[in-house]
Amino acid sequence: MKLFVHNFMSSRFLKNVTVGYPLELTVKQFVEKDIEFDRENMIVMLDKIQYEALLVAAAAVNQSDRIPAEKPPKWDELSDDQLKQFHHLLMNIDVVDGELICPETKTVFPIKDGIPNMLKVDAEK
Amino acid sequence: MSIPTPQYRLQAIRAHDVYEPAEDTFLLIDAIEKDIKEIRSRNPQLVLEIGCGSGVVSTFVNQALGGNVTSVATDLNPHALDVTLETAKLNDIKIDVVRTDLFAGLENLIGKVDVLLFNPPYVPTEEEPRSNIELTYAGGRTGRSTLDRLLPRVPELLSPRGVFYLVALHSNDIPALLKEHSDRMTASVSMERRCGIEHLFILKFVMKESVEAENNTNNTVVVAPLAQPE
Repeated sequence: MKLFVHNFMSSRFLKNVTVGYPLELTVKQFVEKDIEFDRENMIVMLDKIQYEALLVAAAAVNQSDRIPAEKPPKWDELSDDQLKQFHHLLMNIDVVDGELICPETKTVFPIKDGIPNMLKVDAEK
Repeated sequence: MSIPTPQYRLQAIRAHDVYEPAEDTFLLIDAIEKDIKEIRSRNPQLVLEIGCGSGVVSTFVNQALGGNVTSVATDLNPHALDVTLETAKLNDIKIDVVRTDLFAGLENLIGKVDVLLFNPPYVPTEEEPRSNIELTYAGGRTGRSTLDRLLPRVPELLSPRGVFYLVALHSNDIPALLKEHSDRMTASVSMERRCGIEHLFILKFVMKESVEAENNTNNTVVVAPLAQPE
């Protein structure tokens, strides 16, 4: 599971969960791939991203130092080198083994072999 | 210019009760190929397939868009996700998969999906599906039980420039499906084909350009979660 996927996830579908975002993330194992960087695509992707959740994901892989603590005001003002740091976090880091956790109910959704399982019936067993 | 059909390993698909690429799969691929220039002109970034099965359609779309898109695919069946990853790898592309019902747990994709693909279980069936393979086609009495859970959510899931491709049967009531979101989306029959007893349709829904949508760049709107069956 690439880290950008975490940005789109929530546990709002669980009963009695009001926000359910961002999900807590614990990473037991991840691999770093080398996905091709494209400036325009990265900017479009960053427009879809919520910064607070990205900070959670960066911290989960101990790579918070790659990106600023505050959301940059305009993505297209960033240099390629700065954008590549975001690209690395969102696209290159692939979580193999870990857990996604609902911030309110602490329901655990496992990530196994790179595949997150968001099925409620499995999580509530 | 013809885009090649993705490679896939039938043996792996058959061994794991995953829906095998069939006429409906290839009709959906044909419809996308027919429209590929128009889809490219929308400059899509995020593709979501719900119920990806073998992963052949997601792989095709990723390749047809030159690998410049981010593909996410969901399925209930864990074997389908394994096979989808294998199909992607076989064709040297990347797909991220999530095991879930429809898009539950991916609520923050709302308003961001540029291309949405759905080949639901559409065959009218009397009994509840019991096996993985029955789940791939059993659509309840109207053939629309799964579709009817997703369809109300489609306009909010799509980005302002989003497009949605849906596989349906004649018996699913095509005129009613086309009218479903006529206030927010333009719907049309992209392709149709008779295959034995099945009369298959590919329906295409395009978000209507609206001032409201253009101004809605703030994606923090709180939306109702997708209900999962108990």
